[in-house]
Amino acid sequence: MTAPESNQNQGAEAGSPARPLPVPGTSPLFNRRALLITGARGIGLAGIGASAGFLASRENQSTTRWQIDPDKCIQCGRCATACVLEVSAVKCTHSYGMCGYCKLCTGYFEPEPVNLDEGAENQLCPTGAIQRKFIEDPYYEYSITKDLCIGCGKCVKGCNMFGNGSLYLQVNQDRCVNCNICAISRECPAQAFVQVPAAQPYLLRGKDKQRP
Amino acid sequence: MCLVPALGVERFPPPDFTGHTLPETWVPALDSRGVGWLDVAVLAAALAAASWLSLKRRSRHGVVVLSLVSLAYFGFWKRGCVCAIGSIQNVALGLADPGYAVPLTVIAFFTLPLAVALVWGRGFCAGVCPHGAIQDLLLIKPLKVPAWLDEMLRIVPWVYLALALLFAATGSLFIICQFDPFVGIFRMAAPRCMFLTGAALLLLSMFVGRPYCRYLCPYGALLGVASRFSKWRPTVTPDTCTQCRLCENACPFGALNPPMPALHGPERVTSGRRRVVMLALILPLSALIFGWLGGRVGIASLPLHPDGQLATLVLAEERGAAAAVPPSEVLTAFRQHGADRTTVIAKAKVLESRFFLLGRWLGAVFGLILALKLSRLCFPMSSTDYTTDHGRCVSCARCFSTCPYELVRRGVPMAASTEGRDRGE
Amino acid sequence: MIRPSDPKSAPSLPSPALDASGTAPVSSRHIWAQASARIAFIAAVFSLLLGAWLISNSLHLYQGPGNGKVRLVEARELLPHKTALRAEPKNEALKQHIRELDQQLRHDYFRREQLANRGGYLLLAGALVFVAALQLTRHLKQAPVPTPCLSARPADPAHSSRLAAVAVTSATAALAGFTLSLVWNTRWTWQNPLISNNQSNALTTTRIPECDAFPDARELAKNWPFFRGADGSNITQLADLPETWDGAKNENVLWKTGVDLPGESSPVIWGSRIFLTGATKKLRELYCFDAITGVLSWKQPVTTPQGERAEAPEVMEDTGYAAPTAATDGRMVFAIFANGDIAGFTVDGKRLWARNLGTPENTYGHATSLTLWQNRVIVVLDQAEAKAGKSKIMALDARTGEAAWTTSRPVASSWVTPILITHQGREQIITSADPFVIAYDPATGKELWRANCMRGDVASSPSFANGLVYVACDQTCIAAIRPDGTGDVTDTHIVWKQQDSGLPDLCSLLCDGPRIYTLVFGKLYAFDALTGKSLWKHDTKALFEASPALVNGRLHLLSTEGVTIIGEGTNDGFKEMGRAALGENTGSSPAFSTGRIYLRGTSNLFCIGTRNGN
Repeated sequence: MTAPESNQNQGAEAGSPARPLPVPGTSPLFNRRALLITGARGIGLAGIGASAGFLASRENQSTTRWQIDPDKCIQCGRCATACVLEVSAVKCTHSYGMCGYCKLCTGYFEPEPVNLDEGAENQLCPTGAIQRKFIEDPYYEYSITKDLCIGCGKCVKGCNMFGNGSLYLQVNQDRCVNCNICAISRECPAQAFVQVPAAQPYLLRGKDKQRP
Repeated sequence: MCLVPALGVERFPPPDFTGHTLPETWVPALDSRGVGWLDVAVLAAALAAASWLSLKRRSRHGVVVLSLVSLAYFGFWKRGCVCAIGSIQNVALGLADPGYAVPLTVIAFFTLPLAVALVWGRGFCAGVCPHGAIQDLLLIKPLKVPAWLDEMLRIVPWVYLALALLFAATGSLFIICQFDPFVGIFRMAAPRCMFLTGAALLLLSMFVGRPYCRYLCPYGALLGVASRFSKWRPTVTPDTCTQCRLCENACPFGALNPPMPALHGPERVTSGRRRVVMLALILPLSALIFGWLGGRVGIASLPLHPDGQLATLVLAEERGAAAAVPPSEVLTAFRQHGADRTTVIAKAKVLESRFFLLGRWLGAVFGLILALKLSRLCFPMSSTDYTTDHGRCVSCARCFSTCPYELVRRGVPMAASTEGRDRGE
Repeated sequence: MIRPSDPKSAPSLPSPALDASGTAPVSSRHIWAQASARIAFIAAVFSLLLGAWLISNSLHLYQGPGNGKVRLVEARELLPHKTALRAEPKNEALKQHIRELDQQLRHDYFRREQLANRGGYLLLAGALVFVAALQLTRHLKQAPVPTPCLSARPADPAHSSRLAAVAVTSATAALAGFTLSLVWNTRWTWQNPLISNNQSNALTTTRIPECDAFPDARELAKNWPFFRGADGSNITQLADLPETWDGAKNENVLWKTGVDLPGESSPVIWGSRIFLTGATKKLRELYCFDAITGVLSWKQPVTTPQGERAEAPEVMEDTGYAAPTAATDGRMVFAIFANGDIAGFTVDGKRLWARNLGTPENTYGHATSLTLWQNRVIVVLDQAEAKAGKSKIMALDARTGEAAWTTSRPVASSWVTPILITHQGREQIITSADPFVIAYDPATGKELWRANCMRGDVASSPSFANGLVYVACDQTCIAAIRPDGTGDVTDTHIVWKQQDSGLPDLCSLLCDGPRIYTLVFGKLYAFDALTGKSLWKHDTKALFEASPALVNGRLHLLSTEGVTIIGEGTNDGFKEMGRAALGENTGSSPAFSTGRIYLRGTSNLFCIGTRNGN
């Protein structure tokens, strides 16, 4: 059913010696078949073209990236474990402009710290990824060491429950592989994962919101 | 109603420092590996190369080199994403949901290989798809899968495709991406079960030709259909077959059909009649049964959609079964931020009917495909020669070199091998 | 010359491959093949060992419930020590121990993770070498010329094909049976078990629990039942509303649906239903859209009942015949039009009643929207001159349309939508027109107090905040009135008046608590809400008909060109945060519900929302 067409093609190119071939078109059955196949091919190509055109005409967004809407996040902790990457692409972000620079930071300290110092026994962060720096009495500055952060959201929970919410989780776009469907988004109980334009891939809080 | 304190309500007012400037909030810049149009350009070039290599050059070496390049670029460099297989889902969602914009790159990845398959066959599978390449390169000792098992397993991609379309078009899940066995290897990070599936499939592909492509890949199923209607396609013999049987075992993918004796006379007429009767019976019956089943599957799949999950959880809770439902965080989050019950239930109802209708249609189409397959199996096409099954042929170019005519055509010194053989010279 | 041989005669088969044919001599080929086989073997052993080690490493990382990260996050090893430390906070040795353990845990985790990472690449390299060597071996050992399959004759293809058909049939039957057993029992019953069956109307897809009582304030506040929201403040606390959209590019547009007849009225929302009115000189219609899909659920014509007189009035083009916004309480919905036609429907679109209140004599066209109090529809029909005595306020029974009370109003035409307030336990309807601001008792229609301070065409609807009623008109002033008086309170209860600038003509004023905002010819003015002191003005370079809204602390100013200017107002000024274009002109005000903004353009109703946020 198929050989003749390609034979002609191949034969011409290969320059093979002449050979007796069933001549296409001599059999009415074959003719009808070929016509059907050509028709189906035409319909198929037209269908593919039409749906591609239909979808492309809707193209109104630049490519998107996954991001967490910090207002929806409930800090369930799945960001740390559900990402396809060994170490999650989600990490904590700190908007300094919103931070109260508290001495007793509920994002930094255990619920009942023994002392307000940097001892491991007082720290909430399991990887010690938050740096605490004295600025002026009674203010301390907190900053995230991104390499150490594993996105567990413990500090975020602390900060959002009792503080200003200046700590929040964001998908770090240098690490995110932008899966077609984000594995964390499937597990996120709060539907906090949204697709944002790649040109503005962060959903920052406070004054950082307006940052390009 | 939203009970969350409005943002910007600062419990502790940020201090006004005199001597300290606030550090800039730092977020890492986007790391995009290559731009979309480059991927499309590489795809188009690779498709052209694959078609040219398998149809014109008829060169296995060329195809191997191309598939290595594709594996490196689309696989390990692009980490398996964008891929044509997954693009099915984006396109399905795009067609079903007018609010969803499918990126142009994804549209190109879906349409180009299909369009090429309609003209030149499955060159995409041969040399462009990293999934195919990684399996094909591993193939050491192909075992022949018996026809009955092969045909049985070939149903799986259609089931997979139907489910993928159902879940994608309703915006629930992208199962093709979720259960992709090789993407974990490409990006060198994956959950354990994903790695294990991938490794198992790779191990299997050393002895069974392309197990994923043949028995799982939903895009392969589509390409197979398209390829049946292609204009130019690879055939073993460059000109004509002498039935030397040298190519009998050449295809590791079962795409070479042995000659099928034709029926003659009255037998042929009866067979034709029986075929028509069978089709008339089995087509509507199968479509009805699977359409009905599809509708039921659709309804049952409702909790796979986040909104459906929320609604069913809300219902379960109202009926006092909340304790039996583990992810109660969904309900917590719903209470914190979500809409009221009415909206949730209303959404779920719309979703349910969408699931039902879609499931019904997809089931019916699956039933039709199954019926056509059965009819093809019961009444196989007759042929006098070894013919290529173009739905299965992935244009890997393995078989060409087994044909003595091809060797002659290429000018391979056949003297030693063919001389002295009684070949009717 | 090769010719096709006769298929009948068995083809003669070439003898097994001759070793001599090939490019390399036998011995060298063989040696290479052997070497490559060895390499393949070594690579295989290496990969296997490495793989085994990686698995053990990963098992260590992942042991116990959850994986290494979970262990680290939960700090199970540290917990008992931390508890112990609480008991004796001065125990320095314990502190030291915790620190060391913590250090060790973290070190262990990060080291293993790094090893897993590097090991993965090594394993990949090993596997690559293995595959390459194996393929090379195979290639070298392969006969240069194909050998035929010398096995017995191939099985009868027709037979194996039929066998396959049986296999396929049985496999699909088994699959279908299995699937069916899984889904057999799955059905969703959406009925709320708290509401009995007969209460929820089975006629249509009733999504709203029907109840007899008028919804309480909480229920009202959940929805957007009237013009400018449940309390007429045009303020919503919803936090998840989009702030960027583009109607022309369909960006953040969940759906848009064409509206048959034009109108300046705004959408109102209850649950998943959106109500909207549209009218021409001849036709008047009420629409109900499905909030989820945007599909028109129903539309009903509003016709003048036989025997009642209604003339289509001459109206300004800017006002149109459907300027008043509908009102709903979740059970019923009401709509009024410029010719005085008013009708009540159930939310499912069943007409309850219709009547004509007489064509209002209004130079621009009647624009006062409806509002609801208990089971009554409050209709303000201000018309003609004050001395003509034609203006009135009515309360119609929601079920029948009969007037419960009617009170004549000594005012001229106005375009103000009244608000319902409760102050010191006293419920009041606040109206504003030339010349009086009047408060009525919603139960009886008795006048409670009045203040003489408005002149001209009064169109800005009042607001209630800080215990003060704020009213404005473009000719005299913006005023704050204490609503606790009786009789004429002009001299006693007006707390402040601001007469200099920023007097609004079309757009209603907005009070966010500390400040009053007005929009006058594209300029946004702010005043101190407690003193009336002018704070600042800001030129937006746009024109407005829609009332300014406050969304979760942000001002939404919708211009006539359909551009929503979003920004924050403080005591120091206005900070614009962005503009979002609808792509259509508009004179309607937005309506808000969870995650969605509904905007009416000249020809379409838009639902703005983020795809993932709904």
